[in-house]
Amino acid sequence: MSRVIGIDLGTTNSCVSVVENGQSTVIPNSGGYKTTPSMFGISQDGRRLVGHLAKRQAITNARNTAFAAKRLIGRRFDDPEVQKTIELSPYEIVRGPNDDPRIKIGGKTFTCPEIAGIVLREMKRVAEEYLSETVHEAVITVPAYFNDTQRQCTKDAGKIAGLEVLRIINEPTAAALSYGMNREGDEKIAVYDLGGGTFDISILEMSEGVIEVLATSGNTFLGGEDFDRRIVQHLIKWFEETEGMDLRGDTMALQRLKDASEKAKCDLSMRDVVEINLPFIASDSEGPRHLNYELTRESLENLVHDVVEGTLKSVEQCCVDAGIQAQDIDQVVLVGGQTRMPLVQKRVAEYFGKRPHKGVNPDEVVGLGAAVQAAALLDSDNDMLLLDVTPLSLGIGTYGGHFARLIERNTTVPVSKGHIFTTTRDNQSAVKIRVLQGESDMAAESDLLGEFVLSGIRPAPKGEPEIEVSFDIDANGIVSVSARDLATGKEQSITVSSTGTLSDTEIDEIIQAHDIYEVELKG
Amino acid sequence: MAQAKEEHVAKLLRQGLELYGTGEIPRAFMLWNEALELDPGNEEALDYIRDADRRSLPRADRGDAPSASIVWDARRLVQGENEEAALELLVSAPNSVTLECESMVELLRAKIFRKYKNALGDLDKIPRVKEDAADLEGRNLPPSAGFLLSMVDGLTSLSDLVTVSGMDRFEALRSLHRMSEAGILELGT
Repeated sequence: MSRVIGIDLGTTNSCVSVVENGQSTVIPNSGGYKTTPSMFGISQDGRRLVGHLAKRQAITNARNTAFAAKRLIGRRFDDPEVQKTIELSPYEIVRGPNDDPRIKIGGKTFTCPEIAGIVLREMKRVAEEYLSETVHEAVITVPAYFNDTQRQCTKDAGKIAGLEVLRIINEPTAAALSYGMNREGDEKIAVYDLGGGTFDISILEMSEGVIEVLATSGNTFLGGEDFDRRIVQHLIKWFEETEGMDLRGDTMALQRLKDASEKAKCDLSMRDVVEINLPFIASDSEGPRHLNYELTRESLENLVHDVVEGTLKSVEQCCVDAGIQAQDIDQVVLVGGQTRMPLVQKRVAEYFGKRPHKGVNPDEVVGLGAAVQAAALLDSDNDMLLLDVTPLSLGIGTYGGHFARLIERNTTVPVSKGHIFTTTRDNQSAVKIRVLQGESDMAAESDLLGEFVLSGIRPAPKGEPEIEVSFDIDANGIVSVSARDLATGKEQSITVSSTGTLSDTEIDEIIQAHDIYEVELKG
Repeated sequence: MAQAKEEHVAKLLRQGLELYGTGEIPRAFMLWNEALELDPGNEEALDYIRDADRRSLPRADRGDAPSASIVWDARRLVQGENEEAALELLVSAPNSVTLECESMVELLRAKIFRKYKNALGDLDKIPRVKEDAADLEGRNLPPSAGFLLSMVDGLTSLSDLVTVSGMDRFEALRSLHRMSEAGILELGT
């Protein structure tokens, strides 16, 4: 029996894990790295690059390097998050035929599940090289706030990568799992996740194997890259003052500054001072110029202090949403490489009044949790019971623009619920079922997941026909909806695939198109 | 042997004419120049080049004496197997944008590129920096070389470095070749 891998498909980096001999292990790629940049690019000579190679051309060939596709996946083109990404991204984002955002690089347009699929395919390849066997199945993690469409698109990405996605689980849930926290009785846990490009704070409640997300908050445009950017700006300013040369328009210099800043930031989590040496960063008539600079931990902390404080505002909001005080939290879990920074650890500890849980690498904790879940799915003797909950309420749009909730948020999944609705006009022969997700009472303020029509209703005065609408949510959080006229027995149903998702035909076409290319990743 | 060479020159001249007829003028010049290298002074090749250059040069300084003499000097450098100097002369000279110059530049770049590739060997080789930072800073390298050096990590191959650098392939390979010749880089597997 082949093994099931766990994949943390991150905005900035991804990580693949597996359980071996009862222990979950992160699988390194051939370059020895345990995480792989979630980047896909096309070089100027037409080569397709994934991971570290794509990252290396991210500045010098920015228009042809896609990153952070996770911010776009499963969203509509007009979504404010997509519009903000368009403003900030050097690559082109265009409106797709399904009203979805698509990424245009190297003269070709890619769907977001396709880009995510390319990254997942690479993680699959890394696992297969390490395990020396073919891998067909995976558990993939997603942010707790992901709605049905975003989850469905992530499943599609898995399919494009040649993986059957056995389960989609929430990232904070995976983090808690990798600590084995689901077995320790009733607890409230704060998962502080500061990754490369996003910040998420989740408050979970664990009770008898059920993990409930009480609240999530965060900022999808705040992460470790903001810290790097502050260092880059600082170095550019210093170089301009001391050498009189402006490096802002020089993409080669900017790429080097970005790489060196990221490295210096990581080193400063273990040391008080680092040297940044960039020989031949520029030249003029007097010859080459070198950038040699000493950066201290203290100066770095001054540069990014406000960014760290910004995360704590989201933490405060999350506690309010969850209806708890900071001191009610039993455990604090840190996720994401940026949480290695001593200033972050110090401020989080001060806020919650307790030291964060130690022991698992913050870069790997989510991927490891996914592997734990993957192993549990294979092992029929495993007594671990993991029950996730719906992140958002589900229901249908009703007369007057209202939103009738059928399943409240935080309901444990899998779940099935039904309700009887009726017609609003005499002799109405059809009803349009609009499936919505969200917390507003107004349909217009909720996410439209999909819609379908139930026709052939027996002619009758308004209010007389009985139409039963049933919702099913499976363990992945994927929603199916059916509507049945109780008088005629006529039924219509859909597995919700809203306008942002791909059809099976589109997915098959993408799979075939990608089989032609050999995607490259090294080191 | 001489007959084979003659046939090859004739073929190059004919192919050049065909390309010229379809509007691929720089490529036609390349072939005629190649014919001239095999058979220096070949009148037919010289005629084609002169004639075509006269007829089809809206952006050239036709009849410009410096341009003609630069081409002449470049040819002599090529005959002396100093192709890099010939290329340098052609690309740095003002008023040298004739199609003949352009085609010669292309031909030289293709030839020198092959030379670099042969010298470096298998482009899957992995370069490593041999010198320490202090010695390196004493050298006079351009920023593009510094950029390439910053990506040398002992894992990335020459071929991948050229690709991800985003630099012109010729320029990237020239820089890597020069650094290898100067003992800054060593190549391994």
